[in-house]
Amino acid sequence: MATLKANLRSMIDQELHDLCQPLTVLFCRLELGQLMGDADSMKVALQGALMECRRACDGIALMRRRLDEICDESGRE
Amino acid sequence: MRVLVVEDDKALGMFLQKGLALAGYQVDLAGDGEAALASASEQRPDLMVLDLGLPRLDGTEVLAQMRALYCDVSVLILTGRSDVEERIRCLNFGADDYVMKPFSFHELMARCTGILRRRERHSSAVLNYGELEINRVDHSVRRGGWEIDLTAKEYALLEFMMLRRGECCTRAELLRELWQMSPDAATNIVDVYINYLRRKLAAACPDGKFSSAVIETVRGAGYRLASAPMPIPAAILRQNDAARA
Repeated sequence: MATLKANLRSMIDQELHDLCQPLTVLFCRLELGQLMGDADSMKVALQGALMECRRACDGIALMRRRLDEICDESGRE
Repeated sequence: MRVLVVEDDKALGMFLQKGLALAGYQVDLAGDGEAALASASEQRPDLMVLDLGLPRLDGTEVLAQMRALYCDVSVLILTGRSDVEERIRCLNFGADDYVMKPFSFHELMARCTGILRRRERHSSAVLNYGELEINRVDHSVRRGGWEIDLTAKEYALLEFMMLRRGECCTRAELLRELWQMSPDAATNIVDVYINYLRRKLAAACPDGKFSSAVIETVRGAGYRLASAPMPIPAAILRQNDAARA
Protein backbone atom coordinates (compact mmCIF):
# COMPACT_ATOMS: atom_id res chain seq x y z
CA MET A 1 0.00 0.00 0.00
CA ALA A 2 2.83 2.33 0.91
CA THR A 3 4.57 1.59 -2.42
CA LEU A 4 1.35 2.23 -4.34
CA LYS A 5 0.93 5.57 -2.56
CA ALA A 6 4.52 6.58 -3.25
CA ASN A 7 4.25 5.57 -6.93
CA LEU A 8 0.97 7.41 -7.30
CA ARG A 9 2.34 10.52 -5.68
CA SER A 10 5.43 10.51 -7.85
CA MET A 11 3.40 9.87 -11.01
CA ILE A 12 0.83 12.56 -10.25
CA ASP A 13 3.55 15.06 -9.39
CA GLN A 14 5.34 14.40 -12.69
CA GLU A 15 2.17 14.49 -14.78
CA LEU A 16 0.93 17.66 -13.09
CA HIS A 17 4.27 19.24 -13.84
CA ASP A 18 3.97 18.25 -17.52
CA LEU A 19 0.38 19.51 -17.63
CA CYS A 20 1.48 22.88 -16.30
CA GLN A 21 3.46 23.64 -19.48
CA PRO A 22 0.57 23.69 -21.99
CA LEU A 23 -1.75 25.30 -19.43
CA THR A 24 0.71 28.14 -18.85
CA VAL A 25 1.11 28.75 -22.58
CA LEU A 26 -2.66 28.53 -23.07
CA PHE A 27 -3.29 31.04 -20.29
CA CYS A 28 -0.60 33.46 -21.46
CA ARG A 29 -1.44 33.22 -25.16
CA LEU A 30 -5.05 34.15 -24.54
CA GLU A 31 -4.04 37.00 -22.24
CA LEU A 32 -1.62 38.37 -24.80
CA GLY A 33 -4.27 38.16 -27.54
CA GLN A 34 -6.69 40.04 -25.30
CA LEU A 35 -4.01 42.59 -24.44
CA MET A 36 -3.27 43.36 -28.08
CA GLY A 37 -6.97 43.34 -28.90
CA ASP A 38 -6.91 43.31 -32.72
CA ALA A 39 -8.53 40.58 -34.79
CA ASP A 40 -5.27 39.16 -36.13
CA SER A 41 -3.75 38.84 -32.66
CA MET A 42 -6.89 37.13 -31.37
CA LYS A 43 -6.81 34.73 -34.31
CA VAL A 44 -3.16 33.83 -33.66
CA ALA A 45 -3.91 33.48 -29.92
CA LEU A 46 -6.84 31.14 -30.62
CA GLN A 47 -4.81 28.98 -33.01
CA GLY A 48 -2.05 28.70 -30.43
CA ALA A 49 -4.56 28.07 -27.65
CA LEU A 50 -6.13 25.17 -29.55
CA MET A 51 -2.69 23.64 -30.03
CA GLU A 52 -2.01 23.91 -26.29
CA CYS A 53 -5.45 22.42 -25.51
CA ARG A 54 -4.49 19.38 -27.59
CA ARG A 55 -1.18 19.18 -25.73
CA ALA A 56 -3.02 19.34 -22.40
CA CYS A 57 -5.46 16.63 -23.56
CA ASP A 58 -2.53 14.39 -24.55
CA GLY A 59 -1.09 14.96 -21.09
CA ILE A 60 -4.36 13.92 -19.44
CA ALA A 61 -4.58 10.79 -21.61
CA LEU A 62 -1.03 9.87 -20.61
CA MET A 63 -1.89 10.45 -16.97
CA ARG A 64 -4.86 8.07 -17.25
CA ARG A 65 -2.71 5.37 -18.88
CA ARG A 66 -0.02 5.71 -16.19
CA LEU A 67 -2.67 5.55 -13.45
CA ASP A 68 -4.08 2.33 -14.97
CA GLU A 69 -0.58 0.85 -15.17
CA ILE A 70 0.11 1.61 -11.52
CA CYS A 71 -3.24 0.14 -10.45
CA ASP A 72 -2.55 -3.01 -12.53
CA GLU A 73 0.91 -3.37 -11.00
CA SER A 74 -0.45 -3.03 -7.47
CA GLY A 75 -3.16 -5.63 -8.31
CA ARG A 76 -0.50 -8.12 -9.36
CA GLU A 77 1.39 -7.52 -6.11
CA MET B 1 16.47 46.34 -19.48
CA ARG B 2 17.70 43.00 -20.75
CA VAL B 3 15.95 39.76 -19.79
CA LEU B 4 17.18 36.21 -20.40
CA VAL B 5 14.40 33.60 -20.56
CA VAL B 6 15.62 30.06 -19.83
CA GLU B 7 12.92 27.55 -20.72
CA ASP B 8 13.22 24.17 -22.45
CA ASP B 9 9.57 24.08 -23.54
CA LYS B 10 9.82 25.73 -26.96
CA ALA B 11 6.24 27.03 -27.09
CA LEU B 12 6.44 28.56 -23.62
CA GLY B 13 9.93 29.97 -24.20
CA MET B 14 8.93 31.65 -27.46
CA PHE B 15 5.76 32.98 -25.96
CA LEU B 16 7.59 34.49 -22.97
CA GLN B 17 10.16 36.02 -25.29
CA LYS B 18 7.42 37.61 -27.39
CA GLY B 19 5.38 38.85 -24.43
CA LEU B 20 8.34 40.39 -22.59
CA ALA B 21 9.58 42.00 -25.83
CA LEU B 22 6.15 43.55 -26.30
CA ALA B 23 6.46 44.97 -22.79
CA GLY B 24 9.62 46.76 -23.91
CA TYR B 25 12.38 44.47 -22.67
CA GLN B 26 15.29 43.21 -24.75
CA VAL B 27 14.84 39.46 -24.52
CA ASP B 28 17.21 36.53 -25.16
CA LEU B 29 16.10 32.91 -25.03
CA ALA B 30 18.05 29.84 -23.93
CA GLY B 31 16.69 26.28 -24.09
CA ASP B 32 18.99 24.52 -21.61
CA GLY B 33 21.19 25.19 -18.60
CA GLU B 34 24.50 25.37 -20.43
CA ALA B 35 23.13 27.74 -23.07
CA ALA B 36 21.76 29.88 -20.23
CA LEU B 37 25.18 30.29 -18.61
CA ALA B 38 26.81 31.01 -21.98
CA SER B 39 24.19 33.63 -22.84
CA ALA B 40 24.45 35.20 -19.36
CA SER B 41 28.21 35.57 -19.71
CA GLU B 42 27.84 37.22 -23.16
CA GLN B 43 24.80 39.42 -22.64
CA ARG B 44 24.91 40.14 -18.88
CA PRO B 45 21.13 40.41 -18.49
CA ASP B 46 19.48 42.45 -15.73
CA LEU B 47 17.03 39.64 -15.05
CA MET B 48 17.01 35.90 -15.72
CA VAL B 49 13.61 34.13 -15.89
CA LEU B 50 14.69 30.59 -15.08
CA ASP B 51 12.74 27.34 -15.40
CA LEU B 52 13.94 24.69 -12.97
CA GLY B 53 13.46 21.53 -15.03
CA LEU B 54 16.14 22.01 -17.68
CA PRO B 55 18.14 19.57 -19.82
CA ARG B 56 21.96 19.46 -19.67
CA LEU B 57 22.22 21.49 -16.47
CA ASP B 58 19.41 21.63 -13.92
CA GLY B 59 17.86 25.00 -13.04
CA THR B 60 19.05 24.91 -9.42
CA GLU B 61 22.61 24.29 -10.65
CA VAL B 62 22.30 27.20 -13.11
CA LEU B 63 21.08 29.38 -10.25
CA ALA B 64 24.02 28.37 -8.02
CA GLN B 65 26.54 29.07 -10.79
CA MET B 66 24.86 32.38 -11.66
CA ARG B 67 25.13 33.49 -8.06
CA ALA B 68 28.80 32.50 -7.93
CA LEU B 69 29.72 34.12 -11.27
CA TYR B 70 27.34 37.06 -11.76
CA CYS B 71 25.84 38.09 -8.45
CA ASP B 72 24.36 41.27 -9.99
CA VAL B 73 21.87 39.40 -12.18
CA SER B 74 18.38 39.11 -10.66
CA VAL B 75 16.70 35.71 -10.98
CA LEU B 76 13.00 34.85 -11.17
CA ILE B 77 12.29 31.12 -10.88
CA LEU B 78 9.54 29.34 -12.83
CA THR B 79 8.49 26.04 -11.34
CA GLY B 80 5.85 23.47 -12.18
CA ARG B 81 6.38 21.49 -8.99
CA SER B 82 4.58 22.06 -5.74
CA ASP B 83 7.60 21.08 -3.64
CA VAL B 84 7.98 23.76 -0.94
CA GLU B 85 11.49 22.64 -0.05
CA GLU B 86 12.64 23.17 -3.61
CA ARG B 87 11.30 26.72 -3.58
CA ILE B 88 12.97 27.43 -0.22
CA ARG B 89 16.24 26.02 -1.58
CA CYS B 90 16.04 28.33 -4.60
CA LEU B 91 15.34 31.40 -2.46
CA ASN B 92 18.25 30.44 -0.18
CA PHE B 93 20.46 30.07 -3.24
CA GLY B 94 19.69 33.69 -4.05
CA ALA B 95 16.63 33.66 -6.32
CA ASP B 96 14.77 36.98 -6.08
CA ASP B 97 11.29 35.50 -6.49
CA TYR B 98 9.43 32.52 -7.96
CA VAL B 99 6.23 31.88 -9.92
CA MET B 100 4.31 28.59 -9.90
CA LYS B 101 3.10 27.19 -13.22
CA PRO B 102 0.52 27.54 -14.58
CA PHE B 103 0.77 31.31 -14.21
CA SER B 104 -0.89 34.33 -15.74
CA PHE B 105 1.28 36.47 -17.99
CA HIS B 106 0.12 39.50 -16.00
CA GLU B 107 1.46 37.91 -12.82
CA LEU B 108 4.79 37.15 -14.47
CA MET B 109 5.05 40.73 -15.72
CA ALA B 110 4.18 42.14 -12.29
CA ARG B 111 6.88 40.02 -10.66
CA CYS B 112 9.48 40.97 -13.29
CA THR B 113 8.61 44.64 -12.87
CA GLY B 114 8.81 44.33 -9.07
CA ILE B 115 12.25 42.73 -9.19
CA LEU B 116 13.57 45.28 -11.67
CA ARG B 117 12.11 48.15 -9.64
CA ARG B 118 13.79 46.92 -6.46
CA ARG B 119 16.99 46.47 -8.43
CA GLU B 120 16.76 50.01 -9.81
CA ARG B 121 16.14 51.30 -6.31
CA HIS B 122 19.46 49.88 -5.16
CA SER B 123 21.54 50.65 -8.21
CA SER B 124 21.84 54.33 -8.94
CA ALA B 125 23.04 56.89 -6.42
CA VAL B 126 21.79 59.95 -8.31
CA LEU B 127 18.37 60.02 -9.95
CA ASN B 128 17.34 62.73 -12.40
CA TYR B 129 13.92 63.55 -13.73
CA GLY B 130 13.61 66.78 -15.66
CA GLU B 131 14.88 69.55 -13.41
CA LEU B 132 14.78 67.33 -10.32
CA GLU B 133 17.80 65.53 -8.94
CA ILE B 134 18.02 63.36 -5.85
CA ASN B 135 21.09 61.82 -4.33
CA ARG B 136 20.20 58.52 -2.74
CA VAL B 137 23.34 58.35 -0.64
CA ASP B 138 23.12 61.63 1.25
CA HIS B 139 19.36 62.11 0.55
CA SER B 140 19.89 65.58 -0.87
CA VAL B 141 17.32 66.94 -3.33
CA ARG B 142 17.73 69.69 -5.92
CA ARG B 143 15.42 71.35 -8.38
CA GLY B 144 17.11 73.30 -11.13
CA GLY B 145 20.21 73.34 -8.96
CA TRP B 146 18.40 74.77 -5.90
CA GLU B 147 18.68 72.61 -2.82
CA ILE B 148 15.44 71.55 -1.15
CA ASP B 149 15.21 70.52 2.47
CA LEU B 150 12.87 67.53 2.90
CA THR B 151 11.87 65.43 5.88
CA ALA B 152 12.63 61.69 5.73
CA LYS B 153 9.07 60.82 4.72
CA GLU B 154 8.89 63.56 2.08
CA TYR B 155 12.18 62.32 0.66
CA ALA B 156 10.95 58.70 0.59
CA LEU B 157 7.80 59.79 -1.22
CA LEU B 158 9.72 61.77 -3.83
CA GLU B 159 12.26 58.95 -4.32
CA PHE B 160 9.46 56.42 -4.83
CA MET B 161 7.90 58.64 -7.50
CA MET B 162 11.26 59.34 -9.14
CA LEU B 163 11.85 55.59 -9.48
CA ARG B 164 8.50 55.26 -11.24
CA ARG B 165 9.55 57.94 -13.73
CA GLY B 166 6.20 59.38 -14.69
CA GLU B 167 4.07 56.30 -14.04
CA CYS B 168 1.04 56.74 -11.83
CA CYS B 169 1.58 55.82 -8.16
CA THR B 170 -1.74 54.90 -6.61
CA ARG B 171 -2.69 56.04 -3.10
CA ALA B 172 -3.06 52.38 -2.07
CA GLU B 173 0.44 51.62 -3.29
CA LEU B 174 1.96 54.65 -1.56
CA LEU B 175 0.15 53.78 1.68
CA ARG B 176 1.41 50.21 1.53
CA GLU B 177 4.99 50.92 0.46
CA LEU B 178 5.77 54.08 2.42
CA TRP B 179 3.49 53.97 5.45
CA GLN B 180 3.04 50.19 5.73
CA MET B 181 -0.69 50.77 6.00
CA SER B 182 -3.56 48.84 4.48
CA PRO B 183 -4.67 50.22 1.11
CA ASP B 184 -8.16 50.55 2.61
CA ALA B 185 -7.03 52.65 5.57
CA ALA B 186 -9.26 55.68 6.05
CA THR B 187 -6.58 58.35 5.97
CA ASN B 188 -5.56 61.27 3.80
CA ILE B 189 -1.92 61.09 4.84
CA VAL B 190 -0.74 60.55 1.25
CA ASP B 191 -2.54 63.68 0.02
CA VAL B 192 -1.18 65.67 2.96
CA TYR B 193 2.42 64.67 2.18
CA ILE B 194 1.93 65.26 -1.55
CA ASN B 195 0.87 68.82 -0.65
CA TYR B 196 3.92 69.31 1.56
CA LEU B 197 6.13 68.12 -1.29
CA ARG B 198 4.42 70.30 -3.88
CA ARG B 199 4.88 73.38 -1.70
CA LYS B 200 8.54 72.67 -1.06
CA LEU B 201 9.25 71.88 -4.71
CA ALA B 202 7.46 75.04 -5.84
CA ALA B 203 9.30 77.16 -3.27
CA ALA B 204 12.66 75.77 -4.37
CA CYS B 205 13.45 78.85 -6.44
CA PRO B 206 13.39 81.95 -4.19
CA ASP B 207 11.76 84.13 -6.84
CA GLY B 208 9.11 81.48 -7.53
CA LYS B 209 9.88 81.20 -11.24
CA PHE B 210 9.24 77.46 -11.51
CA SER B 211 5.99 77.42 -13.42
CA SER B 212 5.67 73.71 -14.11
CA ALA B 213 3.97 71.40 -11.63
CA VAL B 214 6.27 68.57 -10.64
CA ILE B 215 3.59 66.30 -9.20
CA GLU B 216 0.40 65.80 -11.16
CA THR B 217 -2.84 64.39 -9.80
CA VAL B 218 -4.19 61.40 -11.70
CA ARG B 219 -7.89 61.76 -11.05
CA GLY B 220 -9.36 58.85 -9.11
CA ALA B 221 -6.04 56.99 -9.04
CA GLY B 222 -3.12 58.77 -7.43
CA TYR B 223 -0.14 60.90 -8.41
CA ARG B 224 2.72 60.93 -10.85
CA LEU B 225 5.67 63.09 -11.71
CA ALA B 226 4.84 65.41 -14.61
CA SER B 227 4.96 63.28 -17.76
CA ALA B 228 6.81 65.89 -19.81
CA PRO B 229 9.22 67.54 -17.43
CA MET B 230 9.74 71.18 -18.34
CA PRO B 231 13.27 72.22 -19.20
CA ILE B 232 14.67 74.85 -16.91
CA PRO B 233 14.34 78.27 -18.51
CA ALA B 234 17.71 79.76 -19.45
CA ALA B 235 16.97 82.90 -17.43
CA ILE B 236 16.53 80.84 -14.27
CA LEU B 237 19.73 78.93 -14.95
CA ARG B 238 21.59 82.22 -15.26
CA GLN B 239 20.06 83.48 -12.00
CA ASN B 240 20.96 80.21 -10.26
CA ASP B 241 24.55 80.49 -11.45
CA ALA B 242 24.72 84.10 -10.31
CA ALA B 243 23.26 83.21 -6.91
CA ARG B 244 25.73 80.38 -6.43
CA ALA B 245 28.63 82.62 -7.44
